[in-house]
Amino acid sequence: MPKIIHFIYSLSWILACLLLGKLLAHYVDILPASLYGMVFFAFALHLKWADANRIKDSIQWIVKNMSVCFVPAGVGLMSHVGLLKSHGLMMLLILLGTTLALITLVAYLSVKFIGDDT
Amino acid sequence: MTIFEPAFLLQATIYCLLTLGIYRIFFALQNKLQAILFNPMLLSISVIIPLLLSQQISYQDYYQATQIYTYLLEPAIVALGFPLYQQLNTIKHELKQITAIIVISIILAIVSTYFIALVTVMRSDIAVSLSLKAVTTPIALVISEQYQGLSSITAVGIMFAGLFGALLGPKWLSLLGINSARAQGLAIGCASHALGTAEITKKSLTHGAYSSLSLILTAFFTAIIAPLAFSMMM
Repeated sequence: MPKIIHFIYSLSWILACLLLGKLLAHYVDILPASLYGMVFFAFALHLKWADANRIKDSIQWIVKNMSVCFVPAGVGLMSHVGLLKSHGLMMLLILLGTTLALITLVAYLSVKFIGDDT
Repeated sequence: MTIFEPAFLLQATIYCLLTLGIYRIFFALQNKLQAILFNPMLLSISVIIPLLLSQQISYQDYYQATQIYTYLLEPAIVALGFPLYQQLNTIKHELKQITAIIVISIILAIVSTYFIALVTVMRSDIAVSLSLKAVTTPIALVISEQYQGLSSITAVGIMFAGLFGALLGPKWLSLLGINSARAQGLAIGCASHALGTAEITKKSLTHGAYSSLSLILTAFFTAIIAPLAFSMMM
């Protein structure tokens, strides 16, 4: 667990960046606000406006625990029983195959054109 | 029901704590066993669905009561800017190559998924939905609606692309002999969006940085490429 005061500091920066992201997304509707916010956050740290040392622990805690936020969306599967019965297996296979293919393609191209860093 | 009604507040608190509790139990279990298959998110979902069905609680009720998690998702995604910042200096020099790799890959992915789905399932709405699976949900939903996809299938497809990438991706790449943190991060971020990125950031912050960058570029270029691709294919 990060120190409370550091967590509040981190959260303030994160929320400020998100707010800025919301503002930008309102005018330039290409990316969702959270992705704009992610870029702002990286730049705030890069320009040393935000103190990375005070933020580090909180980020590790957030990253470790953020998966719980995806649970309610995942539970949404229960409302697609009909469609899953008729096309579910085929869709699942397509998703599995194309996702692994895409992962392979990107990884292969990166090793080939940027190099192997292992 | 509004959020200010005591009955709703009580229900929301119970559902949220229940979700968190189940998640924490599986989280502890995974930490103990260190097995990738004991993914806390996946296990929580597979426990909560039967639980809701057996108690005859509708998804609508559950979703409304646990909406706070959906709201927390946004700041959590912003937090992923941290690993991105840590690698910013290294990444700067590779940005051109990375962009080229991602653009080529998503064009191939969208077109091939669309045609594979069209040939096998023979429904263009499902084909549109499935071909948007790699990108982050808010973007995919907008494009999906624009080209007569099914929102619900788009959302579930995204979820599975995320799960497959998060659970199987790193293992699969190691199997192929690709162990580079950079390649793994770029690949998972491109195919499995924030969900894969959240998982792979646990491996190392280098993984996380490249995955975050990849997910941003994928989101940005899909928003531009997918509408073009669909209007050409239809």
